[in-house]
Amino acid sequence: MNSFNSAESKRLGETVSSAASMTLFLIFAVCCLIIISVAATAYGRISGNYENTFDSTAAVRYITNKMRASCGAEIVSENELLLRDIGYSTLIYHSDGAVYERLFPDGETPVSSGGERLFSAEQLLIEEDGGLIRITVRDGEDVFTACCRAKG
Amino acid sequence: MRSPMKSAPAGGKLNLFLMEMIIVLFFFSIASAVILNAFAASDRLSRESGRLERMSFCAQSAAEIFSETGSLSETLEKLFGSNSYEILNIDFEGGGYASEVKLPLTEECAYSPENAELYMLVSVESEEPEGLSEMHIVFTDGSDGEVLYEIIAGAYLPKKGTVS
Amino acid sequence: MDVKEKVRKNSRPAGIGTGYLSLMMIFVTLCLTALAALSFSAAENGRRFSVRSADYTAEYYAADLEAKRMLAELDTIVSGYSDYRDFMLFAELDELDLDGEEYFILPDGLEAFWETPINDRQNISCKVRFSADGFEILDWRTVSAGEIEEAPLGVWLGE
Repeated sequence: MNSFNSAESKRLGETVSSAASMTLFLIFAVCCLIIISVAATAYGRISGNYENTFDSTAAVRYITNKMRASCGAEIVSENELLLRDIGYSTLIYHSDGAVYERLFPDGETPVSSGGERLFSAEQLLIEEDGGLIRITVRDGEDVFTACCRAKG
Repeated sequence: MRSPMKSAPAGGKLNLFLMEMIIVLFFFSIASAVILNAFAASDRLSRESGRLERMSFCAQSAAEIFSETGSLSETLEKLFGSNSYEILNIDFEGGGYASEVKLPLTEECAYSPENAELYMLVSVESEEPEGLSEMHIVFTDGSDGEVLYEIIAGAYLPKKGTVS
Repeated sequence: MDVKEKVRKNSRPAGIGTGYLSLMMIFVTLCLTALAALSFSAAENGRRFSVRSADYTAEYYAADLEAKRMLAELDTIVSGYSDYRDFMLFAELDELDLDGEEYFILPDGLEAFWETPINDRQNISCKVRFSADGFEILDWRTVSAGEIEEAPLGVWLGE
């Protein structure tokens, strides 16, 4: 009878230890999953931030550098800018969530379609501001603005 | 996967499991500390590059406005709106002048005297020949004063002609 | 068969075996390391791009200031002469030692062309016309270093 009791208690002990280790393992597994998901979210945020910042800053820099290299700039509409050069002109415009550019030989009327996609951007705003042209690009939460001299 | 400790008694097995858990947690905490540092560094780098871009665009806009107006007060007004900026003006005896201003800015480079995360020091000095002036812009960290970005720009606006 | 033996036969291995936790930790650490490395690489790329762009902006405005200094000096020299054919004017202009300078005498003025380097790859090309009324900037733009002046870009006309 005594030996039976001791076997029962041993079995109970085994069950308890098994349940305890299983619980600890599950807690560890859940913690690991949470950590991985937090890390993945952090990566997504950093990577998304990089992409948004890159697109909007690169768009502003590209347009201002083009303006500096052109012979003259003319605002066609609030999201269209025409840059004149020798023998051709470049139309930079915003359409379908992206900034596009298209080259036109002299004498051809510039139209804002069929251009080459440059950068994704939710908004491109081009304003005249007392002899300067103000370029604003927004992509996601990031908004970048820069001024450049309007020549011609 | 079968455990190699199959024949160990239950209590011993639990002890073994706990021991493994302690070792795993020890190594995992070391690895996590390193990885967390890497994430924090990435986040800091990402914020710093965004701030550098904003400072560079702000300096560019200031330089462009200054090259058109040649005036510090007009540049600040166009850049940050009408506020009362404490501009320090010095007129030199032999001719010429110098102006200086220290602006408290947010990380987004917006003028904010209440929440100064960085400072923009702008100094303008007239040069010979007359009409030529040089603008020096320095961005410093709001907490430790470390120089973050600086540029030099200029304007030439003589009374008889203009730079377009 | 005795009871003890029966119990031993029916007993199953208790809990989680050794090694599973270590395996899981290795897997999780690898995942986290990969994500941290990707994040760091994205942030580092962004920083490198920002630093390069910001440096270029500083270089451009330093060159722009230098070009304006040249313009101011030219203006000071030219405004001292009413006759732009005066050889003393050219002697003074020669002393300025501008990069790729060229001067053209016009019936009512003087045109000056020069370049100021921004960096190894780009210059600011300046073309200014001086007359009795002052000066007029005809051209003030960035060009590639060594670019052939006034060479039109070949635009495909669809023919």
